[in-house]
Amino acid sequence: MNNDSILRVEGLITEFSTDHGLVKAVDGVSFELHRGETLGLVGESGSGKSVTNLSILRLIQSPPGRIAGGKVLFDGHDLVKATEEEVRVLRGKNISMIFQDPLTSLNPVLRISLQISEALQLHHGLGRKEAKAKAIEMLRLIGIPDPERRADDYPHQFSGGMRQRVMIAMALSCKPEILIADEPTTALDVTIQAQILDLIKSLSAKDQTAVIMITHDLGVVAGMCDYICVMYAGRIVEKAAVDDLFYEPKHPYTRGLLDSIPRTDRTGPQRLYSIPGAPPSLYDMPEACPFNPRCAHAMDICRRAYPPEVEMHGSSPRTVSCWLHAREGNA
Amino acid sequence: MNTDDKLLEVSGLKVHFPIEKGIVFRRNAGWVRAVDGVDFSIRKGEALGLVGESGCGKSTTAMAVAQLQARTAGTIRMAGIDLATLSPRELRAARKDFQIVFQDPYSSLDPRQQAADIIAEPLRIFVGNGLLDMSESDIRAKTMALMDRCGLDSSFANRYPHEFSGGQRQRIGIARALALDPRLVIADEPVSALDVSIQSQILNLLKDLQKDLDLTFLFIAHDLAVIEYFCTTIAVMYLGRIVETASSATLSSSPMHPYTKALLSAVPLPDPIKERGRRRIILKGDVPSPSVVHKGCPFRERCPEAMDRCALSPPTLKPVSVGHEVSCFLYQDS
Repeated sequence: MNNDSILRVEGLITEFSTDHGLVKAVDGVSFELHRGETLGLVGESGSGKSVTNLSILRLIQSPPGRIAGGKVLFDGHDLVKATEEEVRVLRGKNISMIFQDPLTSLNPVLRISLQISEALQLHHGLGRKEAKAKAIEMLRLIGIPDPERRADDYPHQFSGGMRQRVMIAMALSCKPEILIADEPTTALDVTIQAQILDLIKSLSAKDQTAVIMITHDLGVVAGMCDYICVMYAGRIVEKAAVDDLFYEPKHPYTRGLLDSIPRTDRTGPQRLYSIPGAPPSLYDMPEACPFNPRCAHAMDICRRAYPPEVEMHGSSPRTVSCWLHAREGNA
Repeated sequence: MNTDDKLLEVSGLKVHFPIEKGIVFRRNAGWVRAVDGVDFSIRKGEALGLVGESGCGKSTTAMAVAQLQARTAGTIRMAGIDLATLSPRELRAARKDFQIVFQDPYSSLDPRQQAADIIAEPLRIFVGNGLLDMSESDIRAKTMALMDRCGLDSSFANRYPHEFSGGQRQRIGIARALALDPRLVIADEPVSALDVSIQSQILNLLKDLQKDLDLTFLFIAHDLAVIEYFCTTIAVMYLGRIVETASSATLSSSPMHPYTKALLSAVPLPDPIKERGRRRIILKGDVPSPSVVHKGCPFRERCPEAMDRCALSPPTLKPVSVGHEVSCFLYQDS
């Protein structure tokens, strides 16, 4: 493990038992997060990106879910094996999370200031008055006008963008080492999205907070992230530094995704590429490589065995799980 | 430009919703001005995109055009005919010319009907009302042809909506909208509920259909990139009004209204080097409530270029070049 690495996920497997049998939502995911880095986890719905992060914080409801294998190493401790009490101390203090929908993640009957100060009282042992003063300071930091007065408001009195700001204030109030942002702007309009991304960027840079950014929007990761993991059907199919991924995508799925997004910076009557078919259902996963039924380059071997994660040559570490590249790598 | 080739003409459209207060004695406490004076027209074979953020009135405009939402003021003409002058029966017959594709492919399909019945329903309704003469076997043949045209295997005809993926469901919704051979298709956020890899499939399908069937589109979306890809002309809406109209290429290369500029600069680009070099226009605050009456320009409070004059009276759409109209005092002489 490199010196400034703060989180390492190794071979994480998360399963859910359902009426239709056992499904693996996350199937052997490994990645490393460094101090101050912003890591993007990109994928379509059902690719396992949210479950991966809920597993890191041990927020998978059990039953029906369980972490069936792998390690989550934070500060030398394996969070998978840690007791509930040990994880509870970490949550909010060392690793915190913001969710997609700021309305349902805030308690509608508690005042905003109380919700922000809760973590401060719990983790930093602040008194009620000090915590409220700190909460007001956080509200000012995230750009809520007239924070002294607005601190006593309830969530319904805030707009969607302001609620997401409050979530960010709550998540960052204890200065965590890691912030997990799960589709933080998906529910917001694009001009508000720009405000929120800007806020996450500047606040995380200020305290050297590492960020895991979960999103389906490749535009968001291009502007926010240093390093990107592309997920498909519960696995990471490609990991690369942001420029390598966008300018030299290796995996056919990554290439297909990049070619299928309409963009405002290119004009012309060109036709968008589209990947045939749909992402597989977890109940009915294709054999071997889960992308093979949709892949234009599928070969015999792709239907027989899952490709190894191959390390590619290059200036920064990158891996790809595809038989097309199995011979090129160092492995 | 010949006025005859305009398929849809909307002028002075307003849709206001009352805000009611009180439980026993209901009284009107104001109006939500969802659409507040919108003018546009669409020529045959053209695709007009209405783009804007939530609450800007783009969907309400679409629903008013589709005659699914009563309007407060204004006229809507289809092929020169004012739809408000039609009798209920005439309107029912006229509906075959404008059909809708909805946003949510989950809630817009009846879960207890089979795919083929969903697609054939508009035909059966028209036959039942005596507005169309078609035998049941013709209906079935047409349904199969529609499924095939929209990329649905005919073996799926007897399946129920829950057996389809989101993309396939949207194909069913499109096939249903095409059943009556409409001239205008109103597509209200047709791809925003879909995954990235499915979104391009549906956009390409709609593009093919437009070309092959000579369809005219009123396309509603919040995603500028989607609108630019699909539409020939774009109208940007803010708080119930159109602030700028231009061709797709013009709008992306030389936007003029400060709101359009901010909107374009806020769209994240899937290009890291461009993203790093970009200077975003970050708008302050949120969209004001549509129930507030603005004396001046409704965008004034968030506008980085607001002037004294903007507080006095609202600007109106004025042409700045051929096919490019802007509603902003920056481009108008006093």
